[in-house]
Amino acid sequence: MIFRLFLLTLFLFLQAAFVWADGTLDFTNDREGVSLYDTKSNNKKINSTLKKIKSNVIVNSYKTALNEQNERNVCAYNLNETFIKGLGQKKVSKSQYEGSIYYLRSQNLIDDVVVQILLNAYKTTTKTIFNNDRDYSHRFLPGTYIQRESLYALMKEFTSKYLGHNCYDDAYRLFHNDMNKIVSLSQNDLKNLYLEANERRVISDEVYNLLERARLANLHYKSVSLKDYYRKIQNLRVQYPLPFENEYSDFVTKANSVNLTHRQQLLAQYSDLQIILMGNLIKKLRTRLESDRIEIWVYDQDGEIEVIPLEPMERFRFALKILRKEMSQLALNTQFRGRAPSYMDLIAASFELGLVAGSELNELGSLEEIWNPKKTWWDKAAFWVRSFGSVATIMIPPPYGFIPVLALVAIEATMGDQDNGIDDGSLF
Amino acid sequence: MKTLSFILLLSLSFSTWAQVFRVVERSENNKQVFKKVKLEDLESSDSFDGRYFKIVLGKSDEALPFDANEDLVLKAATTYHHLTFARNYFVNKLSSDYVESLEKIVVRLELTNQFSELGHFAHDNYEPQFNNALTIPAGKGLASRNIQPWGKEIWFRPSKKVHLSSLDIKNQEHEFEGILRRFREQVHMQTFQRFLSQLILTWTTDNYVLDTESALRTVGATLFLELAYRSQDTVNYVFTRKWYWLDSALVPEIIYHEYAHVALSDYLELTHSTPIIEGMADYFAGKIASSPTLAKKIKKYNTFNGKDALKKTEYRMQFETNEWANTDFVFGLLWQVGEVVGKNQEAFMYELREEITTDSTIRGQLVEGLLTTCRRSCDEPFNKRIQILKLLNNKKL
Repeated sequence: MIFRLFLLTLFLFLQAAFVWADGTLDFTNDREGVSLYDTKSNNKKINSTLKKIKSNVIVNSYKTALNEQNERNVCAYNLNETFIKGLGQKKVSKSQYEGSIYYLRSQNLIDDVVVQILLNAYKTTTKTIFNNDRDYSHRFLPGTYIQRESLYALMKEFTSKYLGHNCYDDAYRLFHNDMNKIVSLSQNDLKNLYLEANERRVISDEVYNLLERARLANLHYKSVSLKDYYRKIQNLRVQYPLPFENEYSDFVTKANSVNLTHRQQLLAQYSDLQIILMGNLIKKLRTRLESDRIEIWVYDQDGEIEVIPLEPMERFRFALKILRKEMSQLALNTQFRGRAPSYMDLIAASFELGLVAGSELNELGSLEEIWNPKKTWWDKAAFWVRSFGSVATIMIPPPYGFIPVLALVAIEATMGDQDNGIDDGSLF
Repeated sequence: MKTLSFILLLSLSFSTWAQVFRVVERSENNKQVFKKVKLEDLESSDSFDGRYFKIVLGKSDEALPFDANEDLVLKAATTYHHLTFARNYFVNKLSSDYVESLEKIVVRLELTNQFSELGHFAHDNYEPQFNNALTIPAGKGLASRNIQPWGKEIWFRPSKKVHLSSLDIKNQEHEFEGILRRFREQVHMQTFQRFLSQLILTWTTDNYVLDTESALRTVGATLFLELAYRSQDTVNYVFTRKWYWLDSALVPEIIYHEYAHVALSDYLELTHSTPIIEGMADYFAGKIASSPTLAKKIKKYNTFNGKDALKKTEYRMQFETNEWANTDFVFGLLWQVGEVVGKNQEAFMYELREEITTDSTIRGQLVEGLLTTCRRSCDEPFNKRIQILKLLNNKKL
């Protein structure tokens, strides 16, 4: 198993190397349906932006910015900078910038993942920093004097050593990593260190702003950068060429509880290898759901066998049960390190790989209802009525004791036994 | 002149008569009404002998004359009218070549004889049949006994007022009885527990928790409940229906149901009654009638419950047995699957008959047939199959 994974990783790496050497930058949306950002307020922003900046200027500016990017080191921050310059305005307001980005999305020149990356990059670089904590007498600095001197030395080198060759987010991640090698640093430690370094003029105001903004935006956390995203998509498209070009799905742009689309979450949280492993589970599920014959073979000591064919509904429930088992096993896979992907992540992964058609996603997604049914108001209420009802049967004196009993019988009669849903005549 | 006479004769021989008769019909809100309708394709000017159907009385081979008694004419006209309507449905809506190719069907009214595969009509000494209808397969006859071959026939039994106690229809009553019994047991258990705890408290403490008033209340409530439980049969007797009758020839959906058996008989043999064959016939009866309920709101001719496709019945193993062939589980199942299939559902269900037989099981071949037919005919096979599977799973199949 480990050897197979190693081979797969090696293959992916070689494919990636091949792709990067030959790739052309393109973030055209080829998977997402109605955008998460397709809202009334965002459309207003697009309209008001288009009154000031012509649509062709926005598109040309984006294309120019994209052409200036190096596919080996594509950077959202640099792309934003060139893009904003190309809009030809003395000052591009936040609303105009967002309106331009949403316009690019509306034209499918970029997808929601890229919109999110570019907006986050813009937000990070335009974040206002309030230096109101200049009272260094209360400031606690981490580490020893020597350790701090080493930290200051790294800060001094931020622009030359880290930012020089890397995108801002990558640079900060590397820098943060090196800093933590010297001493483990909390967010508050970093805040104090940056302030201290700035006040000592170890770092200029400009570098201070860069570091503090990166800290406030939590850039050191592993989140998807434009380069990561580009690499992942390039790898996946080479490994799994899409059967139909530009097949859009609204399912993958549905927002979850943290206002991220299934696709944004997938590409932010999982590597290309993980996405492949996840997508293949749904491929297997689909095959099982479509299968007209599933049998259990029983071997005895002499090797003779008994073949037990499954009935259609048994096949269906078998397919779901084995999927759940495989999902649990996936979490134990070394690639996932105990992290259990959700069923929606698997569905999004299978679509990303082109293993499942966009028109099938809603139905596949709805299967989760079977093992994870939504609780209705009545289900929730019945739980409490049951709990209080069983106490009330003892507490309430006659002749009113029948009331809680009546309620309990009514609940049992209407809800039935949920755990014993399928008749015993079924194998699964 | 000879040629003219020949043409006149020829045209007369192909002509059909249109006669107006009073029939039992359904109103827009599915209530029973009488209507005057013109019967189509009649070949006789004085009897119910048409191009596709011949209505006869009992074992007779002669078509019922228009001047027969009023009740019989009403039955004959109603069956003829609705059978023609059902036939048109299969020919025009489902483009059924099989139905179009069928020979004239003999429809027997008021026949009480049982069916015999060898002798056509079982001997008169056998128990007479009332309050139902059936469709019989064609037979080769028995030359040695002078029994002529016969084609597919539909038989409508006469209506007879029967006391419900003589029928085995206690399922629903048993369900109610079961719920009442559980309620009674729980209340008694609760009363007993409270009595014990009060008794222990009275013994172990100085407080008289178990006082006379409390004990009397407990005994009173217990006696009252027991009285209610014991008297349920009397209550049932006073408030529930006692008599049953069904005039099958005057209930449109039963006529459709019987014709559906004929229309499906190229794949579903008419040898015996099974849940599959009855469910399929119910489905098409419902579709022809454009109603998910069968034989309801027609108390003059049917005092029994009828069938309801929208009832949320869950699957039980006993539904597979022929004793349960006339429950509405398969009807409801097919109706709800039809809703999933969408606009071509009737053609879909007609195609389904090719995948099943009269002896198919619900859980096995019927479900397999639905999935196979869907793969072949649904507009989005994968999605529709998943929807069907989810529906069947919810029905605990």
